[in-house]
Amino acid sequence: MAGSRVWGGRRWRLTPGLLLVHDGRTLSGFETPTARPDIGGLMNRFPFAHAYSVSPKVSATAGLLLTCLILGGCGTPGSDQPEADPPPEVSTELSSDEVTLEVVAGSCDEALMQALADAFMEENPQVTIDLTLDDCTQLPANAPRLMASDDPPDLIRLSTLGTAVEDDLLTNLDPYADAYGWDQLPATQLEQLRVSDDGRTRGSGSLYGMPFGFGLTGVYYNKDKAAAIGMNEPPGTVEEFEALLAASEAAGETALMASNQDGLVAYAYQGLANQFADRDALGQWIYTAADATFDMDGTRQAAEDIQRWAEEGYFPDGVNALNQDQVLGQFIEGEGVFYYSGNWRAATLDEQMADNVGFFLMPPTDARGPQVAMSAPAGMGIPRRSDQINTAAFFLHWLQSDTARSLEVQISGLAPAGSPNQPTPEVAPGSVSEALLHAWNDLNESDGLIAFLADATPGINTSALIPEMQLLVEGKTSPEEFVSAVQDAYAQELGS
Amino acid sequence: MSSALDRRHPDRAAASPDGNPAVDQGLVPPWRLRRHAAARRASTGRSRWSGWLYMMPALLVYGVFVLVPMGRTVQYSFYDWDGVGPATSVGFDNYRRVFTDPELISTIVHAFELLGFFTVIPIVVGLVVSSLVREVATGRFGTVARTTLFLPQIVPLVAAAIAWSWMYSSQGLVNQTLSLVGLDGLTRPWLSDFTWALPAVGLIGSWVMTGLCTVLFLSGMAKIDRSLYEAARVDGAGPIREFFAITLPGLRQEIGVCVMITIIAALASFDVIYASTQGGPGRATLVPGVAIFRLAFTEHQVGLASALAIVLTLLVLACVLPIQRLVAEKNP
Repeated sequence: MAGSRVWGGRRWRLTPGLLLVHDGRTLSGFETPTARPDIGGLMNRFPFAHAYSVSPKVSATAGLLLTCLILGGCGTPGSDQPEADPPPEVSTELSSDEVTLEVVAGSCDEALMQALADAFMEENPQVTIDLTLDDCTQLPANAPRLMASDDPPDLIRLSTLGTAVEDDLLTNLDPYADAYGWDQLPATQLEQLRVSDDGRTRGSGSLYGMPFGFGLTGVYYNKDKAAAIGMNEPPGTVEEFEALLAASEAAGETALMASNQDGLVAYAYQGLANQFADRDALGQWIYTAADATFDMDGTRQAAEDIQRWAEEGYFPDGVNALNQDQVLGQFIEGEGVFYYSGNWRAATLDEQMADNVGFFLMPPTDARGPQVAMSAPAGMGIPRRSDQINTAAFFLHWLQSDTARSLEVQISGLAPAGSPNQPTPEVAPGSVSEALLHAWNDLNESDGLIAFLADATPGINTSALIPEMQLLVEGKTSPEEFVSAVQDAYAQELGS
Repeated sequence: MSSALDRRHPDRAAASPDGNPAVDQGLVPPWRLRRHAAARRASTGRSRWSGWLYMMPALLVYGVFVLVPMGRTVQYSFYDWDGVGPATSVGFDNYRRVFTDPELISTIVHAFELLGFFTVIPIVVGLVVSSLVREVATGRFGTVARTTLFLPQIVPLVAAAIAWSWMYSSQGLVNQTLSLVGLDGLTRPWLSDFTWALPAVGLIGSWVMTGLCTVLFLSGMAKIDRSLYEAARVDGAGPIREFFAITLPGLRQEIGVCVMITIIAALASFDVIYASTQGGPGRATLVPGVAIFRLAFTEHQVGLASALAIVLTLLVLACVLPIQRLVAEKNP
């Protein structure tokens, strides 16, 4: 605004710096204070500088206050952890004394956890389970604080192990694995709950959690629409699957429903990467083994495919603006031929789409190749400072009982904990839950579980996978850049 | 100090040149003034300490819930800490990263881009709307207009953000309206568009803030002396001149308050973005508030999050202090 500009009339003037001038008399704005020293003429040159000048008294008080707070506050943060008592002698028997087991779980598992707790208490009336539910998105952040608190729970849902082992917050379950024979389970089932002696690298070492079921991701399909594009049986190779996507697109359908506001195109991405890359190499990267790198041909090829699928228009319009609930709703309403998601949606889909929904795992590149699929244990751990470790371990083992397994499958659609040799929990014939159980058994046969890329480090999902996946489907980053951006974020987080 | 005499002769008391009516009126001889002053000092000294006593409960709460956490944040910002385990001191490394990491710098840039939507638009629109409302809408219609405009303030920001994200979606109201008027070429899922996501989110802020500014301006206008407008009219001023010559200067304080509130809302924005885009697509709408939350609670980098929080606080202060000085100036 020009300084000489006269606004509204000759007598009133608004000048730069918001001085209001009336007949040459300044009515407002900054008047040069004389009491404070004007170092280097700062105040004259920059009228706004007055705003930052503070009287010596005020600054002294503020300084004193801050110093007191910082010096008197506390020592090094996190250095006041009390020592935990030595663990009790291992016992696989439940004592007849009345005990209360404090359990913290996520509110998204409320129905299942409540049913499991009720069933357990019915079988073991001397145990009272005190179930506390925390918001599922907040629980990973709250869990370490709960475990470190003065009154830790006896069992807690572990979305990720994070630094809990390094920070000595969890009970080592190796003695219980020996006592209960958990070592007999397929090795890849418990891999994700193992941590090496360095406290950080997962995938091998001591066991720190046990699952109440397994998430399993793969492809749902709308049976009517799949039949319409000529799919008589699930595809046997990635190539066949891609041909089906192309056929769907040609038929004017949305080929593959997925949401990407939450970055969950990553499920489909990993579905491909699991087939293209070496399972162990990818697993080592997720478990943050030394020297592991994301820079592999398989991960790059998967990124190329996802970008091509996006260019071909296989994903729904505005996939970057969609979240998982919206996509689920749209698929139920009949949009899309295929839908990449997990078994935790099975119960809802069975209920809403009756017999019109099927499921298959992402097929291998070669029809004879082994099945590999992303599947994460819904793990629970025993805080190191719990005073009911034996009872809590008994509950963890009970999660593999037939009663618990059928609750796990029926209520949440999770793949059941325990050995594939146990009787398969009953589900409605022809339901998608049945298809999921078959897929689960196939996967266990080839021992082909692999963890979720987003669980590699606490920050990798929000700092790299979600934003980079959004850039990738929009064509704003190349597959090479995608791979190196993910690796860079990973290296930076682990290095810090 | 005041006496029966003052009440009988209020004019004389008020006219006292040195503010000491007792001397003026011959009640106290001037040579005894010193003792009076001493007594007055003693009494204010006492009341100063008892004042602190009365403030104690509030100060204690303020200290425990505001000052101590602030001091702790400053302290944490010098450590590399996951929030639970042992921490290692890293000096100014966290601050260095805040100013060198392009991702973190971009969050601060986004916050300043939001200023246009949270501050400029609401104040300009608020000024126009409040002038119009004052001119044309009196009585019941005025009340309805005020209430409607203020309504967005009452809606929780998270709810507003969710409602807006429905409207911005590919089949949402915004695109339906565009199609209806034949602008199909412009329709897009706004919140997932790398170019338009930030303006779209910013407009949610404009929608929320405009009502607040309008209502503040309306109340400010009510206290402007009507005779000024009459005088302007006699001088031959039209409505636009009236606005710039009388309304705008008269609203200086209200504008100052609005600028302050909206700048703080823009720079410290969190809920609208967290509920609508979560920083996406890519990092197109990532602002410091969301970045701090993520760093601290999902990425467990409490030190870096604290450093960014401190930088954000200083930025907000640097923007708001000059405006506060302006507003605090005495009215002419």
